[in-house]
Amino acid sequence: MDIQGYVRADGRVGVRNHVLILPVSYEVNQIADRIVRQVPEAVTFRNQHGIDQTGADLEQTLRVYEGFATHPNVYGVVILAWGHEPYDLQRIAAKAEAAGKKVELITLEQVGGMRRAIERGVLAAQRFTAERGEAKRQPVPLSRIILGTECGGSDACSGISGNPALGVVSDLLVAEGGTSILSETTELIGAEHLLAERAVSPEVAERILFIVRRIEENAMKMGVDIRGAQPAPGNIEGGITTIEEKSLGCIHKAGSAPIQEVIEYAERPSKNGLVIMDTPGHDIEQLTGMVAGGAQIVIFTTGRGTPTGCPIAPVIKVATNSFTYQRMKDNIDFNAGTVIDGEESVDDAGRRLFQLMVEVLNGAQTKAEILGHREFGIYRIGQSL
Amino acid sequence: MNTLTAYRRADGQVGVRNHLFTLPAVVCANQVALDVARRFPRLKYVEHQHGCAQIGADLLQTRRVFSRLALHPNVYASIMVSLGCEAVVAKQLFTETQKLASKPLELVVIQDAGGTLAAEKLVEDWLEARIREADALVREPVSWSDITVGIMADGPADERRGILTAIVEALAQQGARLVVPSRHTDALRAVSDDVPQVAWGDGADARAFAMQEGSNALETATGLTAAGAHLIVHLADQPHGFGTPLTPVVRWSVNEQVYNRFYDDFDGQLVDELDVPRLVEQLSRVVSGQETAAEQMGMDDFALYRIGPTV
Repeated sequence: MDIQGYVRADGRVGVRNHVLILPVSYEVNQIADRIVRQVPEAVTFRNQHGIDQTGADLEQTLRVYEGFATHPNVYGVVILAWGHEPYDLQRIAAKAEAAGKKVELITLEQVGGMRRAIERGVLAAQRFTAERGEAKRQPVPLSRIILGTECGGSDACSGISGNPALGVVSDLLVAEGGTSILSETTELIGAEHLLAERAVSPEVAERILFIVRRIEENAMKMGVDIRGAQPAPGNIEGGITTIEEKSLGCIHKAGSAPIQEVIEYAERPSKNGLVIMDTPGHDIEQLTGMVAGGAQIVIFTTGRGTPTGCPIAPVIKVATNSFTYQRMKDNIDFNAGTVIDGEESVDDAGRRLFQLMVEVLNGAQTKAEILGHREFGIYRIGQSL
Repeated sequence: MNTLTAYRRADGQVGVRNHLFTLPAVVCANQVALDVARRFPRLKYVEHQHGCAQIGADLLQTRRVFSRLALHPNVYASIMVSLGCEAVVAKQLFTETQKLASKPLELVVIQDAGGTLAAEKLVEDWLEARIREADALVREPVSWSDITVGIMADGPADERRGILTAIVEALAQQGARLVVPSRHTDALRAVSDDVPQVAWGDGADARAFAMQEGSNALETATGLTAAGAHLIVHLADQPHGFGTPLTPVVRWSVNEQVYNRFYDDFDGQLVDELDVPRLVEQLSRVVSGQETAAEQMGMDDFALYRIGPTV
């Protein structure tokens, strides 16, 4: 099956053609903000990181920056920096250039202050938005797509309607040769043995058990037994009783395909098929990680209703019940509550959702895109978080 | 020069600004705050990635700081925006915060309102009524003893000790209350034998106290605001692009070359102790309403100091 996408110089396929203003540290948030106010066609986000980070924590943050700067949904990137960040800014710019992006690197230090940085950024953003029409959509196989799967604000319906329907989409995409990412390790707790059985090798199975153990141990270090602290208050109100129940519902969104590999946060899958990315359960940090890892699109099921999106990737919002769909129609793209209402089977809902995904890949706007949602968050693993 | 003016609030708080503030209780509520602030530039807001998947002491610290920001003396009224399913449990946070003050406070829950646009409408209706009330307030004479000054500095603490001590002594002589990040505790010892140490973003019942700093300068500035600083003096050896939405940041350069290159991002230059009276004089004008460079540029930023991992 083919979709219409942008083939980038590095061979990767984009489904959007964004001009991204990328602030690599909090020192330049306001500059990014002023630029997009003057060039509203460009996208940006608020970043509270990028300074006073070290070690594995810094590496992970840089992986997110590089993942965004080289992302196939991005046509051009204005990299904004303070100039005193503890890492090589040129390297990020060079990676983006190597990926075929139009790149402008602006540092507060080099241009002489905020006002000049804003002027320079506006000029670059205007140039990129004027030029981006040169990139045209063309037929590309669906196998080039990486889908990020996500559930947030889960309720008792999530594991019955929305997540199994998303599982159907994941299986259909994998059957086409594409890639699907399952993440939020916190919500694999209690279901890890079932996933391990689906691993392609004993090594992958061991890795699945390892990442679940690791997140539990991290919580223990905070003096919290996560099996007691989860589910979240909103989940309980939505009818979920235990973390195991939440997890068993959660993993339905990964369908039934074998698990090819386990990757770290914001890492790019090296294999097609179903993969697991180790992320926290936090919706936005998870979403940011999957998109940085190359997901061109995300499907996000929600029981309680969530409005969130991503600056550079379309996020399709799926309600797990008709009440939430009706109540938050401005934010939600798809109603899987039809399964609960007895109007269609999981398989039918899944096929309908797959069709919507194809339309969005081809350019149809999601509700989160129309409303300009741009949530962003990096998962921090440092001593100081 | 010695006539300070500020807003006296019904509950006895003194504010050097009269802000209206929107606080998203969770990352999922950012867009509501952001969109309304675009349409009503008068509205102050923060954008952040927290409030969900936090546990233990880290969650408690976040709740404390959110509550203290909503009640900040520079704020006339605050509105919290929650999604409805977050770990911070905004409804509980809201009722607990409400018990602590007589400031106008409101809570909008996106899931109850019916989505982003419906929630924005509720925030806007609230805001329009509060703007009228806030604008009816006028500045009145206050004294330095009503004012808390936060002081932070770039670079190694021992290199800044001399100049910081001079500033601390000058402000203490005027009667101001002082809070500094813990690395500068020594500077406070010049004016107080007993310097209480508080956690990041917490307050103290003392005329001079030190606060545990964040992992970077923006977290420290956010913490000083939550600790109760009405304004923040930032001695900088580099140019910066951040401020805080609720407290004016008064940024003076301590490096002449940096100042010469980036003078319009700074409020002044401090060469030695002889410049301190000039700084104090500027602070009195900032207290009384003069905008700082960070305020003019709208450098409203926020960073939460996290002490535990996201789960």
